[in-house]
Amino acid sequence: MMACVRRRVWLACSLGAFALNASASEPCAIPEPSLKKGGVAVGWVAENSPITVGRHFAMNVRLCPADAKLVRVDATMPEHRHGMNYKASFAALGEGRWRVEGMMFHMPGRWLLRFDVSAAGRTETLTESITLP
Amino acid sequence: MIAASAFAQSIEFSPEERARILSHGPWPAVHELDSSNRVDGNPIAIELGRKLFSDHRLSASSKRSCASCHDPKRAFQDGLRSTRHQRNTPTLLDVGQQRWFGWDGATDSLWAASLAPLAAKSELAATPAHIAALLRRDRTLNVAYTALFGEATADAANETILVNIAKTLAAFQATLVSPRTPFDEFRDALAQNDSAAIAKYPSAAQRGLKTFVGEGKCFFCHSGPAFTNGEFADVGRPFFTKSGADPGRWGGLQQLFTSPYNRLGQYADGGAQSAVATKHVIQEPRNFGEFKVPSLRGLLGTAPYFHDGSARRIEDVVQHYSTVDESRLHADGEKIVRALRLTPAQARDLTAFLKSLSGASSRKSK
Repeated sequence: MMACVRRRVWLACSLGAFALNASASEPCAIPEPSLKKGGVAVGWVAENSPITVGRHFAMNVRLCPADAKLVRVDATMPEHRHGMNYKASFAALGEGRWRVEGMMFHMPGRWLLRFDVSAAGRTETLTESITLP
Repeated sequence: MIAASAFAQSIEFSPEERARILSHGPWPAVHELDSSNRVDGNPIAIELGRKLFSDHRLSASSKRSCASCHDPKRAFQDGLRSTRHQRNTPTLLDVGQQRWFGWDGATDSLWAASLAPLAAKSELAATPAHIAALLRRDRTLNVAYTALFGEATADAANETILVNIAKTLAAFQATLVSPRTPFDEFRDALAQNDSAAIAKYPSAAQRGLKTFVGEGKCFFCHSGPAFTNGEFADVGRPFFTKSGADPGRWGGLQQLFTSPYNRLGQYADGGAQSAVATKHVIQEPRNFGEFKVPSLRGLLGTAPYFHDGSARRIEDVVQHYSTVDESRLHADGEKIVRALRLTPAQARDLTAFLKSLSGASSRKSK
């Protein structure tokens, strides 16, 4: 978990720098670490890190390519076979940036965060495992 | 491994257990103002709410007040097994930190939760006109109200006055915070590696705490400084009542979605930013028979226990979790609630820990 938290903080700084420097003419790139699959990349950072059990959080998400669309964000506890008590919503902010609201992990343990991203006529599912103490 | 006590019987906590223990503090937690209530934290509103809380004139019969069931001398509950609603009256201590209100979470703000008993025919049975008339004729109440919301003119909507009164009641209730406990002293001592202070926490409570944050997995739902994740669970208690099945969270969500007083409605201050939970919460079949995960703070003063008040003592609660009927629960993955099958000594230790979550005044009276 601590590794996750450190990663998120680092990514927050990186995303911030990217947002300041990016322009439409620059190639779409997300600083590592990011989730990648089938030509799609997702970088994300939780607002109000660290993520805390029983507290809502929002996420700033960056997609590559920049014209990719976020079509679903969800999280489940695979071992418990249940999801969140909330359905996340999201909105495009432009230039591949998205904001996700309504996330809440109501138990400690392993959560599987899922992003469904549509690009070039295909939808890819990218996941990341997060463990809350 | 970290020795919890250099003097008393040595209880060792793993780094994971230590982190979990520290996550149950510090206490008191910082109070976050409710942005759906523009007078939350306002001293005039708190004082007006405090007066109204015990004012029998709020009820249609002039015989009941909020304090009739939420008795300040009983940790703001009534000590009864169940009320006419066949649910246990919850304490109001620490209520200002909650996200959902009532055992079914039918309301999403403390002011909306305060409206429900005002209007309920089985409780105060007050109409908006009754509340507005009281406010207009009582000079003291009127002065305070005007300072907060502006003048309650003759053409002001009674409904709006009722909601504003509920917001002052909420402002008062948000100030009700449970006192520090022996566990809090232990938790802070652990954070500071203060061996002498750690040793003051009884060994039995330490052993019970180890079960709580370890094998018992109690912390899965009873998390954070308030010992609740603020959500809902089916822990294997019966939900059939004399009048039929109590739908619990399922019914609560149905009420929430249709209420004009939820955070998405016209009476809420603060806009969409104060309504994140309400906007995103979903209703699922598993919600049927789920009830709110209560805080464990102040347990000694808030008997009886569970949504229906069916457990008279903390020992009875521990016994339930030791022998819970797992076939009654519907988890198809890893079992979150399961029979702990505690030995008598382990049950006593877990009980000792739970009792240590109460402040000195509760402990003296037990």
